[in-house]
Amino acid sequence: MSNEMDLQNKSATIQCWVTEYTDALFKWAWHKTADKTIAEDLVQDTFLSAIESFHTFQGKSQPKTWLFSILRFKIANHFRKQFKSPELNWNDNILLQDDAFVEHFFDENGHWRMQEIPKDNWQGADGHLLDNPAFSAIWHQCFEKLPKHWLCALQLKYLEAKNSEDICKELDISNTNFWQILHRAKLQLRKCLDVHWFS
Amino acid sequence: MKRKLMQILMISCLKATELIEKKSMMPLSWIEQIKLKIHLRLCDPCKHYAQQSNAIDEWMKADNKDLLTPSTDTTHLKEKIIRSIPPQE
Ligand SMILES: [Zn+2]
Repeated sequence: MSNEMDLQNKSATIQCWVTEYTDALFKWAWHKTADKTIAEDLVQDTFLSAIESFHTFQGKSQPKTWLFSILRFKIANHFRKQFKSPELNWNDNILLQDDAFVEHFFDENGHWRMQEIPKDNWQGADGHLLDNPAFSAIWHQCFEKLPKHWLCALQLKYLEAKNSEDICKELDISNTNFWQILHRAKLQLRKCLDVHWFS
Repeated sequence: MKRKLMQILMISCLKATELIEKKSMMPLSWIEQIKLKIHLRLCDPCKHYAQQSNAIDEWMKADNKDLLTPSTDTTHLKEKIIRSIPPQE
């Protein structure tokens, strides 16, 4: 097959994939980033990378699987960059606010404050609930409200098949800081879901 | 003696919830494990917290790529991407 022929095939194939898989890729990117514009950029980026590395796609996997693996990498990269971006400056901002944040949930002895006590009211809280569009919408809203670097840390923990130590190294934070961020993020996310869905 | 031991082993709800999240990241030391176990046996709110935190983990891991997020029109996005594909020779 001539080079020219290859190239023609490539463009035509990618165009076909764009039509076929953009919706699914976009939905997932949006689900992860909780930001429409960023999700669009990541999907576009995914297809551009797919063009560049088209020769490595040998039809061994499904195109959809291959595209999703590129997108997964792009999303993780996005969170890593965002976490480190100077605007977030999490060291200064968050640790200062941290006491106030924790005091909202716990009293000075570390007991749950009356209005924050978790109750046995999460009926039907299983994996299928995300298939429910109404719940999925609430899930997104709660994510949008998280401080950006909490969102980054939380997503990176589940996006990458790496152990936490490697993630910490990449983010240049200590293990302790990492799980403390996860703890704060979970507290807020749990409360948001509790108030807007389960109560 | 017994009282002192209990004092050492008793942790606050704040500490307990921190240990619950720490545990999802790395193995706890044996003393941490005992502290958490005792606390969860005695404290219903933290038991509920642990279950709910688990549920959130499940949703975070859920990689159902076809999940029903609020649907949007991606026509514009598709056109934009196709325009950015290098032209065929
Ligand atoms: Zn407790």
